Amino acid sequence: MPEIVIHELTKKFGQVLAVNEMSLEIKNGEFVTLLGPSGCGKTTTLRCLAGLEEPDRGEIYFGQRCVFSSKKGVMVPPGARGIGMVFQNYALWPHMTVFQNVAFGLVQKGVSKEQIRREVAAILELVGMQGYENRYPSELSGGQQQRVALARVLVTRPQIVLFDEPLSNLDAKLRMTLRAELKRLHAEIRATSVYVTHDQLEALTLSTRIAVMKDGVVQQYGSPWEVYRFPSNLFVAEFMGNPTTNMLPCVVKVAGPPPVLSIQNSPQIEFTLAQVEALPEGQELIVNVRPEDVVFHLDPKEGTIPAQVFATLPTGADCIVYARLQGSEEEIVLKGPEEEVQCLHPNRPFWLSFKRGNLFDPQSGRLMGSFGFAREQGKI
Amino acid sequence: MPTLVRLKQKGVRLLRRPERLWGVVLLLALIVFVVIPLFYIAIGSFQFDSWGPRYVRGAKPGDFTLFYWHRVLLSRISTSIFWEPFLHSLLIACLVVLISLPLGGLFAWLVVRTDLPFKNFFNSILVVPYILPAWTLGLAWLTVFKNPQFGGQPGLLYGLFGVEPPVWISYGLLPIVISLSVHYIPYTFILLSGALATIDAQLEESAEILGANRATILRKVTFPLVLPALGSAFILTVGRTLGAFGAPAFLGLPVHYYTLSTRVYAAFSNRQQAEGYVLTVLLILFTTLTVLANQKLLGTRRRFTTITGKGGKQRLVKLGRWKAVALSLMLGFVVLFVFAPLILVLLETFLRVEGQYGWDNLTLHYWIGLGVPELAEGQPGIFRNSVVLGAIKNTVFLALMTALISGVLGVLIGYTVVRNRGKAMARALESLSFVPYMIPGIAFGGIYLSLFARSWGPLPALYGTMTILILTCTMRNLPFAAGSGVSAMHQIDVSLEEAAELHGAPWAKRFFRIILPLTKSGFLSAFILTFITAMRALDEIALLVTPQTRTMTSIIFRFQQQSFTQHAYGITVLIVTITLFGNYLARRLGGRVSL
Repeated sequence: MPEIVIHELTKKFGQVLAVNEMSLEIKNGEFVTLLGPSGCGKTTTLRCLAGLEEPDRGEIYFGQRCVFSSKKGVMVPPGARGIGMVFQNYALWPHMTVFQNVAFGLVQKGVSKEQIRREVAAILELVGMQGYENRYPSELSGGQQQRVALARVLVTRPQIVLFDEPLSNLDAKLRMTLRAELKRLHAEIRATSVYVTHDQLEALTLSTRIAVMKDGVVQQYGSPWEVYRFPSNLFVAEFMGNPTTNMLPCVVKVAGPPPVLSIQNSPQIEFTLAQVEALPEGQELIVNVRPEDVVFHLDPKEGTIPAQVFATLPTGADCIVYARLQGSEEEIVLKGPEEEVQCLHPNRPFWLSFKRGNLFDPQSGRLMGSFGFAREQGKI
Repeated sequence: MPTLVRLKQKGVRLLRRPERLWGVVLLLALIVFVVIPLFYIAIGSFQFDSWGPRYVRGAKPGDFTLFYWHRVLLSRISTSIFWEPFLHSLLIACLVVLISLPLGGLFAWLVVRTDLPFKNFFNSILVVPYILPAWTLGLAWLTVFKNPQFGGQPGLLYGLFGVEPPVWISYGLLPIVISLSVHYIPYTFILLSGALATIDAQLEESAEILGANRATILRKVTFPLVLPALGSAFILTVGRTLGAFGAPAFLGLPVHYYTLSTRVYAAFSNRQQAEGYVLTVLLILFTTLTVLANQKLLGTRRRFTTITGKGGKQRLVKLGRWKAVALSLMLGFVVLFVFAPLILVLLETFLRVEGQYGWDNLTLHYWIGLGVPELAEGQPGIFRNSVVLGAIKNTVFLALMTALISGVLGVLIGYTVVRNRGKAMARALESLSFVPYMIPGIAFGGIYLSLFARSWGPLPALYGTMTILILTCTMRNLPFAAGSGVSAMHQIDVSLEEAAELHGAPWAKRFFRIILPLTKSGFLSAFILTFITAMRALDEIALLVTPQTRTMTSIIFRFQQQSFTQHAYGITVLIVTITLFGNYLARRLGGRVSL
């Protein structure tokens, strides 16, 4: 299985810069997700990989083979790239049966009839669609159509498989099932996969690495854990995570250790960051803490922040609590197991502290450092 | 008591959904004006008419007989009454399809899927031949190729070069086929460019990724996908051509080249009523078959619904060196078959003596001149001619009333059908309002002529009134009116109305404050389109007009037969102008529908 190397890829649509000097390396057999809000250039990147769009500048290599290079004037047509692509709308041909749809790629390759029958049967079994050979796409449910679309792609044994939001037209339950299915298939086939989605949960569950994109630029490229825990900037931090992460603009009051911070909009509220060694006094920064990393106390404690609950949202196993810091408009979200959090309710004040999180520079939006993690404790 | 309560509940429910009440009324009206007439002529074809006793001794009008069916299909003269016209119709239909389908399809592909320049221009100009009546091109054809052997002055070809074209070029099959083909090329073009534009690009891209080349994709994916549209274009073109009257009348009758539809016209205008019935029944049978075939084609297992997602924009095929060829082909078509005919028809109205092209022969006489005996037997110019002015007045009245009534019916039917989906009444209403589509205009005229010549039930004799013209045009237009009503109503989600209902708004208020404002522009453009359709109607009213109720199209027909060519062409110019302007207006309005 080849690696994919994207080098300074640029694609414009008229005046709009869809992909801006993007570089990315994808290793053999990896499952990489391009994640971002709509219009971030992820689909354009994928279509450039497929050869469906011709980039304006840059180079794309599949292994040693150059499939696109503006310098060398190389543009390998989609059919010759040895890739497979799964589309959002399944893109099954409505006038062909399941068998004809799946067999199409093999027919193009000139495979013998007998072998086609064997391979189609095998692949339909792999995706769990055996017995549907003579159905037309309109006679299948959405999930079944997507399985057939997968079969059509996999039957030609592509070395690289591209996915363009393949699950976004399906309902939530089916999406979950198919995610597991995709993971199983990837483990079995080990084709280098590039997957486009705007659904962060999908990206986190499926990928070996995630490239978070915005305005045609990769913001961060790393493992799901890295992207979630150590976002490289404010955009990634806010984009990842559900419910959205907490962002508190603060000023360092006392350098420490441990440093004491006050909240920018409500300077009367002060708290300590126990896990951090020291911070320069007067420094402005944004404290970013995931809801599950907010610790609550039922009694006042030195260096904690008093708060008041205004909404609790049970989600089954967990419960999400929205609270307001006392004497301030600042809001905090925290999340915890239902049985632990249920003692919080609007009539009863409580106190907050932060177990672990990240510090961002408010000017550049970049990550300054993280605290509370075993690996990167208090490193500034 | 319980019955009273139930009655009250029923009343309340009816107040909430008053469309159920008028739905039934509309249904009854459709039965009276569409279904019963069809049965009436079907039965009439098996009865002796008032001329019956002249053919068969002792026959009494109204008696059951197979005489007319035998006469039309199996007798000595059935060749000239039916078989020959039928073969002509069939031949014309086949040739028209053979020409218009490939050309229309090619144009559609070029405009939608390639990098051909001037797309907007072609998109708007290529529909013009379809907007105009098919016979306008026929008239233009005659200005060029008219043969002096058949009355009147020679055409352009003779006038300029002294070449006398053979009769088969001037009249009959060839010109009929050409004018109908040009008329129906836009039909294929519209249907196919719609189909091509809505193909999900991903369907072709996935074939491309699997290694298929352009030709394979075109053959295995694109073509099968547009096949239903192509099939529709095929079947509907055949059906429409079979029923076409104007072009075969202008170009066929002078040389006694009959088609089924001109035969129907001849039978009715010669008062051979029962014979007309038989021919009408046959004509309707053929056109209905084509429409049913079309529906069968569209309702197959391989439904062509594609889920439309973002589906990347279709990439255009680069024509390269073929661009010049394609461009000149399309420009050539537009110049030869759209611009030139219109200019020639216009030019003709300024010629003192037709066929003589020179500066000294130019005149405005036929537009504003007072009658002089040596020109057109003393007919005054169009704008001073009381007959023409009366016809214009009638036409405007007819078109306005038709558009108004069709508009109201369209709204009511659309609302009733969409809001009562799945109910038997709504289904019946929808399918019945589609029935007139299967009846060619000339057949429609024939049916109404015989039905309303005398009083019928509570209805007075309508023949010779404007009412019957309005009724005919309205019924003829019903499929279009109902169709646009239904599609407009589909765009308004029921929740918009329900939200108002929960605020206590009664039905009338909901309708006028919510439904109507939201569908306004759609209905306005439907109104304008109906107006121009009724204004240029010839087929359906050719048999129904009387000297008091002449319309512009009917006097064109008459002037043309009397060789008052310039007058005929002048009125044609008026119709063309109003039609193009109205269509432009409707498009502007239609373009604003953004729901």
